Amino acid sequence: MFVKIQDITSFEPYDAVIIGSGPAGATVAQSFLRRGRKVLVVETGSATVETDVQDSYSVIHGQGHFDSNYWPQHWIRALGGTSAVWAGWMKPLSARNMVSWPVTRGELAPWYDHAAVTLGRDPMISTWQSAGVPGFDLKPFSRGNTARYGEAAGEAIWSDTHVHVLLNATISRLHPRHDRTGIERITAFVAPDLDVEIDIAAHQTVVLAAGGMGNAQILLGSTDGTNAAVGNDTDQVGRYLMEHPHFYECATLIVKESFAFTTPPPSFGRFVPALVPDDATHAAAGGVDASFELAEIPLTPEDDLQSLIVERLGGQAKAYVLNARTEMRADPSNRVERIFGTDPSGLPRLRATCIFNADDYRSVLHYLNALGKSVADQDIGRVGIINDHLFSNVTGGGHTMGTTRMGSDPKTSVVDKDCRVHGYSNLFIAGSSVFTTGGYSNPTMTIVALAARLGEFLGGKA
Amino acid sequence: MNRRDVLFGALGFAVGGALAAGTGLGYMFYRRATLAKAKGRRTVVSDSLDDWVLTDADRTALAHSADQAGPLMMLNNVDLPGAGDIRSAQVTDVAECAALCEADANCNAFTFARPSHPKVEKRNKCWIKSDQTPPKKVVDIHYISGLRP
Ligand SMILES: Cc1cc2nc3c(=O)[nH]c(=O)nc-3n(C[C@H](O)[C@H](O)[C@H](O)COP(=O)(O)OP(=O)(O)OC[C@H]3O[C@@H](n4cnc5c(N)ncnc54)[C@H](O)[C@@H]3O)c2cc1C
Repeated sequence: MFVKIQDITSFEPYDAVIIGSGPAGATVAQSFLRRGRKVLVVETGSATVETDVQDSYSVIHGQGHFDSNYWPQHWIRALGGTSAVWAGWMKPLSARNMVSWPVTRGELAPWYDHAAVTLGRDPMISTWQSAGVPGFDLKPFSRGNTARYGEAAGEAIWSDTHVHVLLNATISRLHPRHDRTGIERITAFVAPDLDVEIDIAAHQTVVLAAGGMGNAQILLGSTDGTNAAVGNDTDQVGRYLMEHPHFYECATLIVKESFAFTTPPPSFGRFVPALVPDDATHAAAGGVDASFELAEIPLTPEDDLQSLIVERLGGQAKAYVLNARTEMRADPSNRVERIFGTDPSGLPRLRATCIFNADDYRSVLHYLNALGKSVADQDIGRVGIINDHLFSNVTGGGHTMGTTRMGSDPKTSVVDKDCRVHGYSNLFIAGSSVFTTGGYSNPTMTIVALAARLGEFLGGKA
Repeated sequence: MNRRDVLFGALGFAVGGALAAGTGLGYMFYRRATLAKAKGRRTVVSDSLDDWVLTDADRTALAHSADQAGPLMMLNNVDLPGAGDIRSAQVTDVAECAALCEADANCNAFTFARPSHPKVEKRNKCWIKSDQTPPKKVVDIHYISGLRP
C-alpha cells in the first residue's frame, strides 16, 4: 500500500527497507510479503513517469561509447523503475557466462525457473535449444508480454498491506556504524524539501535495488569525506561498468531455400531466433559471448553479387540480416565516478566512462567469419559481413551492469555471493550492478532470479 | 539473365556518387557495391566481394565471370579526352559500349556519354580508344569510362 511520510509513526515494524521499485526491488518485496513480513519501499519517482523527475534525478555524464543522452534515457525514475520501458526480451545467462562468478549457474537454475514464471514464461525457455549450423546453436530469445511493475505486474505487490511504498522519496545517504560492519541509519529525502533520518535496528536490513547506476550512486554518496564511501574501501564501487554492445544489421546470411532453422515448440511462446556460438567456437573466440538474431529479409535482386551467390546455392535462397547482441569484457577502468554537483536529494552526480575493448569487436568479427566458413563449408549458405555497421553503428541495450560487482575477494568486488556488501552485515544489493560478467543475455531475467534468491535468503531468515 | 547482364545490370546506379567518391574513381567491375533497401529498414550496403565469406570454388566461378566480362576498370563520371580515339558508335547503353571495347583487340579504353548529356549529338555515343594510360581523367557526370588496368 502507498503511504505518506506523515503516516509513518515508527520505522520499527519494517523488516527491511528496499530502495527502488523496479523489477529487483519488487521481487525482493514479494519474497518478504509472501512470508507475512513487512517492508518499506522507497522510490524516487511517482506512480507514473514524469519528465521533471527524470530531468532532475537521471542525469549522468557519459564518455566513451555512450554519451550523456544515452544513460539517462535508460534509467527510469518512477514506480516500477525501468520496467516502464523495457522490451520484454528474456534469456538466462549460460554456465560459461558465469565462470568468474562466485555463484554457479546450477545454483541459479531454480531461481531462473522462478523468474520465468514470475515474468509469464514457461521455464523451458531457459533450456530449449536446437542445432543451428555446425559451430553454432539455435538459441532463441523469449519475447513475451512485458511485465511493467508500475502497472499490472506490480499491482498485487504494491497493494499488499505488508508492503509500504513511499513515493517521491530518495535515499541520499547510508550512514555506517563506527566499526563499519553495518549501516546504522539512512537519510531519505522526501520531495520537495524534507530530510528524514531512519535508524536501522538490529532486526532490519537495507536492500539497494536502485538500478545499475543508482546502486553505485548511493554507495559513492555515502561518505562524509573523511572515510571511504560505504563498500568502497578498496575503490571498487562503480568499476566494471558493462553494457551489451548491439550491432544491428552487421551481416547478411543467405541460405538455400530448402534449409530451415528449427522452430521452438508452442510452449516457448513468442521468440526471436538467434544463432549462438557453441562452446568450442566460443572458446576459440577468446571467451566473450555473442548472439546473432536472424531477421528474415527479402533478397535484393538488384544486387548482382547476391544474385551470383544465389545461383551458386542452386538458384533458390532466402536472406537474413544478422543483429548481434554481444558481451563486453569486464574492465575495471570502465566505471561510474562522482563528479561535481548533486541531484535534488544530495546524491552525487555521476560520470560513466564505458569503452568497448578492441577484443570485444574482434570476437564478433571472429564469429561472423566462423559462421560464414561453416555455412560455406556445408554449402548451406553464405555470409556477407557489413563492416560499416559493425564498426560505426554500435549501440547498447539499456543494460547497466557491473558497478557493484559480485566476487569473493573484496579487493576486486563489492558484494559477496549472497549479494551482501563486503563487511556490512545488514546491507544487500539487488540488480544487474552485481553481475560479475555480463554475457550477452538481456539482464532482467537474471536480475529477478538473483533478487528472488536474495529475498529467500533475507525473508526466510527470521 | 546472362553473365553480362549480371555484371553490367546495376552499373548505372551502382557506382553512385557517394560510393565512387569514397572509393576513388577506379572501381573494378566485379567489385561493385550496390545499395539495396531492405523493407522498411535502414539502407543495407552489401559491399565488395571480399566482405563475403566464400569458398575457393565461389571465387573461381566469380572470377571467371569477371574475366569474361573483360578486366575493365570502371570510371564513373569520368571522361577520357584525347586517349586515342579509334572510332565511335551510337549505342543503347554503357554495357553495349563496354562490349564493343571488349570485342576489339585494339581497345584499351572507352567512354560512354550518358543520355543525360546536354549536347544531343553526344547522347548515347561510345568512343573506342587505344590509349591505356590516358593523358587526363576529367570528372564529368555525363560520362562513364572504362579502362584496362
Ligand atoms: C529501452 C529499454 C529496453 C529494455 N529492454 C529490456 C529487455 O528487453 N530485456 C531485459 O531483460 N531488459 C531490458 N531492459 C533493461 C531493464 O529495464 C532493466 O534491466 C531493469 O528494469 C532493471 O531493474 P532494476 O529493478 O534493477 O532497476 P530499475 O528498473 O532501473 O529500477 C530502479 C528504481 O530505483 C529507483 N531509485 C534509484 N535510486 C534511488 C534512490 N536513491 N532512492 C530511491 N529510489 C531510487 C529508481 O527511481 C527506479 O525506479 C531495457 C531497458 C531499456 C531502457
